[in-house]
Amino acid sequence: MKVLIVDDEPIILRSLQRVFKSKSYEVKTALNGKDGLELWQQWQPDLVILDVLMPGLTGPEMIKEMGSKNESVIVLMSAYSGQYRLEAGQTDDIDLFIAKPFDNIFEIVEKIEVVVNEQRKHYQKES
Amino acid sequence: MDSSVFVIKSISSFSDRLCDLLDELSYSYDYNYFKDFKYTDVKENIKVVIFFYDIRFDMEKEISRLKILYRDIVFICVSLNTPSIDDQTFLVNDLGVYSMVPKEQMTEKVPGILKQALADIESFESQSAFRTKLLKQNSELQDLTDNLEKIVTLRTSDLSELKQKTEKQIQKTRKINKFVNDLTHVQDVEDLMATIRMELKSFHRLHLPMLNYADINNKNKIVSFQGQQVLHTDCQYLLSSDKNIRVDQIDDQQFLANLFKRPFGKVIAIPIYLHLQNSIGVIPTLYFEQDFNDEEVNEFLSYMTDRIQPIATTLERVLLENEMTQAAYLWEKTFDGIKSPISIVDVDYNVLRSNSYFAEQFEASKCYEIFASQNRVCDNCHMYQAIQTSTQKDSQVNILNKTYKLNSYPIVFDNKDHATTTVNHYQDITQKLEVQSSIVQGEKMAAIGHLASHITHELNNPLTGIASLAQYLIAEQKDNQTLVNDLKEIESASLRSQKIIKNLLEFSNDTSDTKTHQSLNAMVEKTLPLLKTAMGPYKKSIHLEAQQDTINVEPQLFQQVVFNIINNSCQAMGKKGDISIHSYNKNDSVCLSIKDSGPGIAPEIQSQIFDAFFTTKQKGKGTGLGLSMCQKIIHSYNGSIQLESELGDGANFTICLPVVKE
Repeated sequence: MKVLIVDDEPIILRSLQRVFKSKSYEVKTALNGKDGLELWQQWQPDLVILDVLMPGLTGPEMIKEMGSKNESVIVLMSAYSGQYRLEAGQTDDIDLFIAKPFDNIFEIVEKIEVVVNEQRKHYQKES
Repeated sequence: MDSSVFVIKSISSFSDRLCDLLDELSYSYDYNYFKDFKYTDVKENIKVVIFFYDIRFDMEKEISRLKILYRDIVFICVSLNTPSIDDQTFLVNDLGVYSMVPKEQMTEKVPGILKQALADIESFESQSAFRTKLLKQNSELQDLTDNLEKIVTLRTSDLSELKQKTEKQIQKTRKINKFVNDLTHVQDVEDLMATIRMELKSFHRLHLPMLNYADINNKNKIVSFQGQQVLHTDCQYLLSSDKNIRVDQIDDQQFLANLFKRPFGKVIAIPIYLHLQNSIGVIPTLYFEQDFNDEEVNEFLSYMTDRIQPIATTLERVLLENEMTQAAYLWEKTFDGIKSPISIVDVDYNVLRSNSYFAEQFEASKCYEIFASQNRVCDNCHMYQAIQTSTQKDSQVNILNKTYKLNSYPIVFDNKDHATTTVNHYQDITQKLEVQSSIVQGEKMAAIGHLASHITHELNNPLTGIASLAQYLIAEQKDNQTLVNDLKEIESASLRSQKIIKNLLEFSNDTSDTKTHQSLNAMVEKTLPLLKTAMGPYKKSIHLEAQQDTINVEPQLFQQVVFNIINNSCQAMGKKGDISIHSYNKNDSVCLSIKDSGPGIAPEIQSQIFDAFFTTKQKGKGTGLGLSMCQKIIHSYNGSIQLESELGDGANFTICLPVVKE
């Protein structure tokens, strides 16, 4: 499974990359929305994990660019507890929202895996 | 020469002989014969009458008449025969004959007798003349005496008249003096009219006086009497006239008739000249309606002439006094009308005058004693500099929990070249400062909030990353226990940092905060991590033991209060110290006590410690907003914040809030 992680904080990228890789996922990362979108278009990952506030394109903007017909599972992360969470939370295209900071990375990764698995079942049924 | 001898001749020859004898002796004489003799023949100058006695003739009649006419005439009788007894009696007693000479002795004796007689007569005459002279002198003296007496009488009467006149004059002067004296007690125009009325009460045919004048506001006024009452009314007519006294002028009658709506009889108008001019052209004038005859008019005018000047002076004085009183009153009201304290203070801080907002009444003399209830000059007061430099100075002074902006305006009197007094105007800016401070505080908090949310985002990302990476490595390296322990330390530090940031975010959140039921103990606990650095060096004793600690507060504001007070207490202490924080219940309140072991707060500044902009911190270290804001916030919860402190024995701030029953 191909996982794309986009966040402007390198250590977040690194920690998530290490955990997903340890679980034998294929992982690519980008430090901003623009690079992230390019990678997504080239690589067509199964799972995209996005930060909200990033230089270039924000998370929600990137989701918009990806269009509604993409088949990736989308997880949005945000450190903001205010307005962005609400707006982003209302976006139909998001499959999971994760508030930062989070206490335990393994719990977060497990939550993501659950969603991904559900989505896969869903697609398999459709196809 | 006139003859002095008269001879009454008889028919006898002796008479001729006598005449011859007299011729011989050179006597001049007149004569007539006895039969023709009339007493009128004898002229005045005759002194001696010689006649012949003959018993046969009656000569008594004419001679006796002669005797009656000339009492002093001397008779010499030549007897031709011996006289009868009756004739002798007549001759001697009635006629007083000087000498009887018998005819036989005539020639021999008559010359001697005649000579003797004439000599006697002369002697007698000179005596008589003297007597007459004496008499005349006497009479002249008498006349003189009489004249003198007359003069004396006249003079005496003159003198007494003069005396009466003088007395009258004195009386008159006394009366005028009394009038002038009465006038000195006059307070207003009404008084003046009453005094004039009293002064003129002896003029029975004079009606009550009226006065037309312009008051100090240049209002045309008429003062009149209604019974004993003095009426002071507006006068809608203006009588243009000169400054002369007017008797029975139709203009005056019409003027009064128009004013009082009734006909007027004869009127005397007496203008009163004042130095004080009015702008509306009223010549102050006394009006008298009267039924005088001409004489009485003159008497009255003469009486008034002496009194016009005193009346004018008094009217002028009363008007000026009224003006001054009104001006003083106006100023007083003006200053009282300014709803902030004003005082006039001299260079020694003595209050000369003040308005009612400065002090209703005072016994002390210094401005700081009266207004600030203290015995020293207020801190930061620049009044003295204002006087010294004769320029306006502004100060900001704290007086009895209030902050005033003090404008000191120096007064330079005309005869001085520098100021000796100032007008001090105090503006209470306490509220303004509070508003200002809450605005400043609000802006400060908004800025912090804004900053904090940024910091939170910026820090949360790496912290989450650090914690996550640590968690991954712990899982990866679970065989290397030492490394795992180190990584756990990293993980825990990251998580702790996240928590602090989370609290800070809540604390400074600038979204509007509403009152909710909160646990005091929990809120203090939540605040303490933010103070870890501040409290770091000190020995902490924290006992949050209040059982009922639910309070109705805006959580973030309340946290600010707790944060501020604990932070202040820590700042007050040196490198070492104890801080004790404990909560407890008291009656229906929950109290939070924050006690430090710092130097304490001096008694004289304890009252100012909650004032906005009061700070004991070094310049730049404190805004002086903290405690005043805390007090405001706590008061808004119907709570109290109190300070107990003694110098050298730390400070104890106690916040008490009503417990909310769930």
